[in-house]
Amino acid sequence: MVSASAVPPLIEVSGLSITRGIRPLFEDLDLQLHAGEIVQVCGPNGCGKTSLLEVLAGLRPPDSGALRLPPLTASIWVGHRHGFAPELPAADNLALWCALHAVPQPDIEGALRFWQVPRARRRALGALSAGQQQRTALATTELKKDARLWLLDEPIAALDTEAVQRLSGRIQAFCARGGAVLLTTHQPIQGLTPRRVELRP
Amino acid sequence: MNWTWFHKLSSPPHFHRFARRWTPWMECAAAALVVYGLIGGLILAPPDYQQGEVYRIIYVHVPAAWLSLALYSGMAVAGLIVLIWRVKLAECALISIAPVGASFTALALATGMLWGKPTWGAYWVWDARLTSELVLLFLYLGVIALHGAMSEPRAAARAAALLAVVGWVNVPIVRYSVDWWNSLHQTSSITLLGKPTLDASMLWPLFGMALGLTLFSAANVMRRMQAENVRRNARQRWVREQLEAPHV
Amino acid sequence: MTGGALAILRREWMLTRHRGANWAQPLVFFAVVVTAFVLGAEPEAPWLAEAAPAVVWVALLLALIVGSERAFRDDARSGFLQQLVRSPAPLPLLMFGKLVAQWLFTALPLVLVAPLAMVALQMQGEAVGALWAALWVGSPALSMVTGLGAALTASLPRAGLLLPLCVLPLSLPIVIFGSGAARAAEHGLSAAGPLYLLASVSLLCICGIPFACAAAAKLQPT
Repeated sequence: MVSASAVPPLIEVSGLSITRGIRPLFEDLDLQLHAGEIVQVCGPNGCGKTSLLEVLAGLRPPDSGALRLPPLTASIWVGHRHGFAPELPAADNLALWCALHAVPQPDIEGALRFWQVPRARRRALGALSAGQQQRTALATTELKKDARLWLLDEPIAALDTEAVQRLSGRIQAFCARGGAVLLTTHQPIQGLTPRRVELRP
Repeated sequence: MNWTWFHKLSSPPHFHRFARRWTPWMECAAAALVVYGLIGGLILAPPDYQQGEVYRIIYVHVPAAWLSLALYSGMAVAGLIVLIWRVKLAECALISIAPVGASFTALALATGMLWGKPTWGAYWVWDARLTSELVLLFLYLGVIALHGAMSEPRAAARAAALLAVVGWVNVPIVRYSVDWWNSLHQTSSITLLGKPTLDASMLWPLFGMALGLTLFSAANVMRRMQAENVRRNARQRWVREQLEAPHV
Repeated sequence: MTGGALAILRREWMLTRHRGANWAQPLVFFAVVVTAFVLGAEPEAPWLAEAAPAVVWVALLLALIVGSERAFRDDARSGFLQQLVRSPAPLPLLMFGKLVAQWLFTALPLVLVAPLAMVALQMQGEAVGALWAALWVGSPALSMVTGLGAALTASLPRAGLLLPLCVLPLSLPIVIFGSGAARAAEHGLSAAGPLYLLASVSLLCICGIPFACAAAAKLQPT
């Protein structure tokens, strides 16, 4: 096995602080994520897990600290809000996602079938359940094949056992291919043994 | 050019000490200049041969109008610094300047109306200058309201900065369009400083007032910035040290 | 590179179709403002035609403000703006797509029906033509400015009064030149001058405001 320090890490964060209002969420966080690694960010509600993922996704600037991130095009971010239009069907929403993220020739049909999202042409996404919407968002990980990093914010909060297993399998396969996953979750995901990073205020 | 002093000044604790030392001096100088300007302008200067005593309102009106524009420019420059370099102190400056500028704009409008009644016969005439000044007041109020409506202080400051900068681009366009609109409308307007020269005995107190009020607003902005700076860094160690330290 | 912007245009078109008759709301609002103004004046007032350009512009401005309020609100709520920020396409270009969609689906129907309002306000031939030309040239600028206001206030729970306060001072030159063109034509002068001024304001808005909107989109609290 190659020692982890030989290849530069995918994500390198040092001395990161994030504040909300004037209150610091956490200060002086150091974090490294290497290819093939799974990291679980832990901590109580409101400790800044989502904010950390948003900083790593390039959505908000850090208040202080040094960041070295892969380019935005190399990562997939699945947040609490998916950015889908509830009026449109799942397939149209994913097609738009692919157009925005410059994914050439996506297999939307296949991704939806894999995640078992109802594919009726006229069924609006807003009419699906929260779990099915979450599956639609996770289907983006099937579409963008060249991603090297997945940032998943509470991916299993709305999923059933079967879907959690499916996700666990996909994460393992992705990491075996050399991808890296950073996720937040309050329940352990069956089959995964992530490295845990605690956020402390 | 050596920029070290600038970087040093933009650090919150250093600014706090700087402001604490210099603000009182600025206020003293401002008070002295304003007293000189008021005595010189309201008592010593002779009445105007055309307008009589009414003209004396320029000693408040002209500095207020000048400050309304200067402060807006200052706010927009702070906004640019916020948008490009994300300097925290510029965020404090932006939101500290806005209420001071809005107050001077309101003062310029009020004194303009008071001057208008005896001169034009009506408190409000849709004169180009007054109208642009009114639009400027709206711009200030928009910036203040937008900042007040957002809860996250840094996002609020950036949003206000964006509006201030876009408004700044807009100010000359508004000015030109209002002038154009006015010329189409053909109102007779006497401009306040339309006369070629003011006598020196009238002019010097005016300069005194302008400089005094400029210093006053600078000091006022500094005090507001100081408060905002402390509020934002309330959890930092230097704030506790400064506040607990005996007064210098 | 333009793929993202075109995709946004297509999305807005599909959303407009899905929302059914909602697209007509600004039209109704426009008609209500014009009618209320006429009812507030005396019937057959001789100055009605004089005031008509201003009424049409103000009604258009208000209708656009009301119509644009939702444009960025839903996108901020659903997290769509964050997806735009993460897109490799240049954000100002994506925002430009959004603003163009807003002009097409909100402002364009208003511009198309505006001559009806002008005739109802007893404007005469020359002035109707000049005002309509001014609406075509000036409505992109107005649409952009209201779009910027909507983007700035998208994340706020109650943007109701704030949006007009932000937008109004920025849109005054457009209203002044826009109704000025019609008044010039009414007095038998050439309307070309104000139309050119209006066109330059529109161009300035088209070049600058997508960048301002991009900066505003990045501000959305997360």
